[in-house]
Amino acid sequence: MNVCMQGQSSVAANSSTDNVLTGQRYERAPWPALGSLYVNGSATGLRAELNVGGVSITPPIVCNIQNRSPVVPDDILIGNWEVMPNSLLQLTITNTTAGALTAFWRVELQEVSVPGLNA
Amino acid sequence: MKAFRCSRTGLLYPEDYVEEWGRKYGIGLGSVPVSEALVNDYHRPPVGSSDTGMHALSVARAQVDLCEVTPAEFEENKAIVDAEDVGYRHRAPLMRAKQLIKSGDMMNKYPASVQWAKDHLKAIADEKAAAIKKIAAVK
Repeated sequence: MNVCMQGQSSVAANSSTDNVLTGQRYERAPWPALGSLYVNGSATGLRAELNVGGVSITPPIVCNIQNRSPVVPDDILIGNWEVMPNSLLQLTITNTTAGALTAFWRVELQEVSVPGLNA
Repeated sequence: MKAFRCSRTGLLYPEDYVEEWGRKYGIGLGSVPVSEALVNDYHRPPVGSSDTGMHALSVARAQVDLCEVTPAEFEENKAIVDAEDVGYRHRAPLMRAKQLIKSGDMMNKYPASVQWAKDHLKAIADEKAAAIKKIAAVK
């Protein structure tokens, strides 16, 4: 089974967002999965950081500046990261500029079969 | 003189804009030369504190057209080049000023120059000063 979360978040100048996945249906993975992260910025200066179950998947990394919702697979930042059932996904965006910017993000989860872990 | 005009904002870029694409200009914007001018995104609410909050900025990515302009016109509508304004230290305050002055539809009106923003800020300040003077006279 594949699931996806996608959205846009405005990030104020010189600041970081809280977890942009907060309140999303799959903020906590329902089953073991492999994930893919896509993030675009509206202009130069955004950094994305992903933590899964307390494990850092990426340090803050530069997003591209396509100024649109992510296109699969062109805009992938990192794929095939492991997600354990019920682990919390945390995606934070940092704006390093003096102007507000918009981040366009997309998280895909692909269920994988792990004996003893699937419901 | 020759210049490249952003078809969305009207801002002018130097003659070598296309030739130096990916080196001096448009770093990170792909292989096709487009406008790297910033525009305001009024589709989303402003973010940030009350004194610095603003609508988000985005790259215009509009077509650029080669045109013939006078040096004076170029000077008036010259774009601030991205590579010379890291972190939007110069452009962000101007864009925010534009957001405060006009509505969304007016923002994309040609010319969207730096001078244009400054003139409008001055006009507002003058109007305010005149109003204060008028109130003082009544008193």
